[in-house]
Amino acid sequence: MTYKGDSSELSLDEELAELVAVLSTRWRDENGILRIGVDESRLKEALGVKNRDELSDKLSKLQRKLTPLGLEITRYFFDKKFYFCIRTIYGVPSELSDIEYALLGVIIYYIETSGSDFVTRKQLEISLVDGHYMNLYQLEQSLKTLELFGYIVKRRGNVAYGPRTLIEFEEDRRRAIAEEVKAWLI
Amino acid sequence: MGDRDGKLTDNKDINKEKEVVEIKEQLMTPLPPREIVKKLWDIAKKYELAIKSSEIFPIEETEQDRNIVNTLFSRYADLRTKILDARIVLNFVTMQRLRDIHVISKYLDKSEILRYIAYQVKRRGSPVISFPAYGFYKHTKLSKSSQIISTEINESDISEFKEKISELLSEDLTLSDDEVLENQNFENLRNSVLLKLEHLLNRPIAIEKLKQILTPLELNVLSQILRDNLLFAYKIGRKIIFSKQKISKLERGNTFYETVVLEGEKHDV
Repeated sequence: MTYKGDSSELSLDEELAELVAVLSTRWRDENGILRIGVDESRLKEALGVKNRDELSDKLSKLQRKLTPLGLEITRYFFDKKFYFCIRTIYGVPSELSDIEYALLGVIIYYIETSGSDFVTRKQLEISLVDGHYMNLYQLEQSLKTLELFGYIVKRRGNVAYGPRTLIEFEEDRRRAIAEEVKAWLI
Repeated sequence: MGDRDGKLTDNKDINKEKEVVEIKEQLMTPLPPREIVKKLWDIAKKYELAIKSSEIFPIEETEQDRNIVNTLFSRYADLRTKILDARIVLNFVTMQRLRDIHVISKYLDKSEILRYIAYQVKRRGSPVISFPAYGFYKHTKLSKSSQIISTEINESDISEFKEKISELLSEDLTLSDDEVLENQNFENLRNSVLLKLEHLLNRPIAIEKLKQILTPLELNVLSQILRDNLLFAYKIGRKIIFSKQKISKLERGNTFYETVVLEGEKHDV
């Protein structure tokens, strides 16, 4: 097999390929919480860049290659750190069932309207189980799935946003979802 | 009772009609711009608060408010009033939507409502993607790209390569037991493992530390040493004690066998 081309272009392509792998990684931290992508400081260290300008320059080169594939690089803030990851511009088959999506919508409604960054399990139980929308078992199972896929994190019996909700649903979309849930459920 | 109810409804209708006539009369009289803005502002706030608390007004009331807004807007329209007017119209639309949902939800099953909410959430998401890269904790130095050496292969090279492969395949490649022993020099290897562990005997050491002390091959030999009872190992949590003597049952309490799998990190020199 032969490769004919500029050697600098080759190294750039290799670097970009590695970047795609790193940015699309999913891993769990020491507390078992799913993390998506890579945090800013580690990315800077790995790329050998010192400031955010150099980093965004490298990432914008990658973005130009990713756009035709329907992908985009996004940055999100979770657990006191900025993370970079890749998401799709278009809809793709999802990993959640309807009931799990609906539960996520209700969680988003409570967090967006309460002003705090969590919702208590009791609140969810009152609106969904006592309101006969689902039974307790379905609620527990759906919460487990949402936690497994990184949509929520559980903290002392409370439910807060996981990294995936922050990446997949931006602030304005979360507010629109809250409006819908309020009209239909509450 | 029925007559009484009928009279009450009639009275209500008469009162409402009176109110409408009064409002229309008021609107016919010329109002200062400030009053117009105040009236519009009151209607805007009324609807915003109702939408916030999911309160639904009857259609008649909304229609009446819409008439007022239309009349006032046609009489006085500067930029501020236009913005306020747009705000009220948006509230009218939201209120109509709430009213529709309120009516529809009476005829819907709870599971159908959940399905509709799920659809609303799903359509607003931009899913994150992942290639099979779970557990990617340690990133390589990305800036150091490896060098790829280009190789040109021609037809003659391929035929030569095929010949060599056929020669190799015709040879008997199986090794005798003696050869295997000679190559690995098992006895020496076992002694070197015992020597390395000599200063660590009879005290707890972290299991992970073994990966740094022994090579993958030596870890394999250690398994065989333990199997042959040349050394005894006792695991406490994530620590392990190696001993040349078997510890009595009384000292070690309830024990059971456990397999510890370690992947060596240290490379052969």
